[in-house]
Amino acid sequence: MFKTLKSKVIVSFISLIILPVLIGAVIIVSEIKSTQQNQIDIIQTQMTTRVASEFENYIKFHVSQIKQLNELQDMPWDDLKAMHDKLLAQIMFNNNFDQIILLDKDGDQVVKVHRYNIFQNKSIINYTSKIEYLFPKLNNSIFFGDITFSEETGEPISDISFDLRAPQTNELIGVMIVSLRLKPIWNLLANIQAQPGQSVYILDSKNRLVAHPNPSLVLKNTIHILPKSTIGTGISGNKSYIKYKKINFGNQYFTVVSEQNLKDAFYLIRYISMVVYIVVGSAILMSIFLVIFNIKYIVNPINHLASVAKEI
Amino acid sequence: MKKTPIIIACAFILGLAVVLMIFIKVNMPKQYKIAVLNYSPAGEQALAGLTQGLARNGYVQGKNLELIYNGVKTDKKLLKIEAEKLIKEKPDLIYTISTPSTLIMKELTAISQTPIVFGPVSTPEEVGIIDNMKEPGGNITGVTFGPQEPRRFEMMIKLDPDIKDVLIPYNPNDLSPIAGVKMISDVAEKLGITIKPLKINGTSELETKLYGYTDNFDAIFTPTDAMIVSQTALISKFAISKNVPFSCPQTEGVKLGALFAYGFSVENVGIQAARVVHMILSGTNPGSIPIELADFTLAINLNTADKIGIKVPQYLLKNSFIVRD
Repeated sequence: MFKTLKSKVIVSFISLIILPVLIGAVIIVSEIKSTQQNQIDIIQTQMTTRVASEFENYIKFHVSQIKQLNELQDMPWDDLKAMHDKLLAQIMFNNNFDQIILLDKDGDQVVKVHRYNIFQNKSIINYTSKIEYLFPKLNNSIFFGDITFSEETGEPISDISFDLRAPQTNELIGVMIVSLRLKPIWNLLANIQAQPGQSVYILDSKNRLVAHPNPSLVLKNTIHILPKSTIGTGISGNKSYIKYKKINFGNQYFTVVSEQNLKDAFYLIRYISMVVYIVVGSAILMSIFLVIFNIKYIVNPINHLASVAKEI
Repeated sequence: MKKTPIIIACAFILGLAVVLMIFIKVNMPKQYKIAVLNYSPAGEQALAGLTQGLARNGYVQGKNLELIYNGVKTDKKLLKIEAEKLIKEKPDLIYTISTPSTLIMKELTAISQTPIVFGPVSTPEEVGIIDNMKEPGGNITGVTFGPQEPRRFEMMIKLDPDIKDVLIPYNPNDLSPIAGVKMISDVAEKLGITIKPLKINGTSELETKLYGYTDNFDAIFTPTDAMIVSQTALISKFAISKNVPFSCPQTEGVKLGALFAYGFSVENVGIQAARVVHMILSGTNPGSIPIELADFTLAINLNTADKIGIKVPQYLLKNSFIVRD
C-alpha cells in the first residue's frame, strides 16, 4: 500500500491539507450555527419582553391617568356641563383616548365626549344591563372589554371601564368607560429596529391581530393562530422562528409575538458558510493543482531518473 | 512551458477575487432615491420631520438615501414643471406635501405607478386623491388630518362665547381648504355662527385683503390650507391688532401668535410619513397601506389671550400645551 512515490505524495496532501481544512470548515460552520440559533432565541425573547412591557405600561399609565383625574381633581358631579368640558379638555389634550363615557350610579349615560366627533343626540342611553357597567360595579375592579375597530379609521380600540366611588363611604357614584386607542402601539412597533425579516405584533384573546408594523394587516381583520413549536408558519405565511409572551389584563389577555423568517434568521450562517465553502473549495482546488504540479514536475522526473538509474 | 502553472494560478486567484467581489456587492445595502414635491413653505417642517423619521429607520442621506428636493414651489405652473423634472429622475418613491402637489404627482405617475406618500394632505377622499381611507389602492398613501376641525371650531366658541361672525381666509385654488370650509360651515350652522369666507389667491394679496376687510367679524379661523398656514405669523399679528381670537390648524402656529390650535404638528406628520415610506421601501404595496390620521392636540398661547383679553378656563389650562411667546 502507498508504495509508489506518487501515491505517497497524494495521500500526504489529502491527509495534511484537504482533510484538516474540511474538518475545520465543518466545525466552524456548526459552531457558528449553534451560536446564531442561541442569539436568535435571545433576540426574539428580549423583543417580546420589551414590547410586552411597553404595551402593559401604556395601558396601565392611561388607566391610572384617567382614574387620577377622577379621584384627585374634584369632578363637578352636580354640574354636567362643567363635567363635559372637563372631560372634553382631557380628551383633547391626550390624543390616546378616543372617547370617554361617564355613567351615573344607575348606569345612565350623563356625559359622552369624542376626540373629534361632536355628539348632538341628547337622548339618555342606559347601560344597566351592559357588562361595561355591571362588572366594575359588582367586582369593584377594572373591566377590559373586547377590542373593537373604529369604523372611520379602522384602528383598534380597547374599551376599559372602572367604578368611581365616594372616598368616605365607598359607595358607587358612577362608572367611566374609556376607549383607549391602540394605534400608538403601532407606532411603537413600527419604530422598533427589527432584524431583517423580523416582525413584532400583538394578538388579542380571540387571536385577532391588533397591532403590526404593517397596519394593512390589522385593517384586514387578520386572525392568526400561533403554532405550538418555535419553528412554524408565521403571520407572513413563511416558515419562521417564533417566540411569544402573554400579558393579562383582568379578564382579557394579549399575546406579544416576535417572529423572523427562517431565511432571514439564518442569513448570517448561510453567508458565512458560503464564504467558508468558497475558501475551502478554492484551497482544495489549489491543493489538487499543487499535487498535479508536484507529480508532473517533481515526482515524475524523480521516477524517470530512478528508472534510468536502475537501467544503468 | 514553465510559466503555464503560474499563469493558471494567477487566473485562478483572479477568478476567485471576482467571485468574492460579486458576492459582496450582491449583499450590499440598496441605495434609495426619494423625490420631494412641496407646494407650501410651511411644508419644510414636514420635510424636516421626514428626514428625521427616515434616519430613525436607518435611511441616511449620502449613505443609502438620496433625497431630491429643489425647494418649495408656490406657483402651480412651476410646481408642475418641478414635478415633471422629478419624475425624470426615476425615484423609488415620491413624497408630496399638500394637496396640489399630490394631485399633480398622481396624474404624472398614472403609468409608472411610482409609489407616492403624501403628508400632510387634508380630505384626500373628497379631493379625489384616493377612493378609500382604509385601502387607498393604486400607488398612493399618506398622512391626513382634518376630522378635528369641527371640534376646533366648537372650542373657539367655548373660549369666547360672544363670537357671532367668523372670518375664514382661504385659497380658492386649492381643493383642500374648499372642502375644509364646507366642513366648518356645517358645524357653524349647527352652532348658530355666521362664517365669512375670504378668498386669497396668493400670499402677496393676503395682507391687503385682510387689512382692507371692512365687514364685521369676531374671530379668525384658518382652515387646513397649505398657503394660508404658511402665513400664520401675519394673520396672528392682524388678529391681535383687531383684538379678536385666531385659531390655526397646526400647533406650530400657536408659537407664532395664534390664540389656540387643536391640530397636528407639521413636523410630526413628516415623522409619521417616514414610517409609511419605510414600509413601502421594505416591499409593502402602497395601495394596501391605510391612510394614517395625524395625531392632534390642544395648544394655547397665553400671551395672545392676555393681549386680546380672553380668559382661558382652568380646565383648559390644565389640559393644554401652554405657549408664552
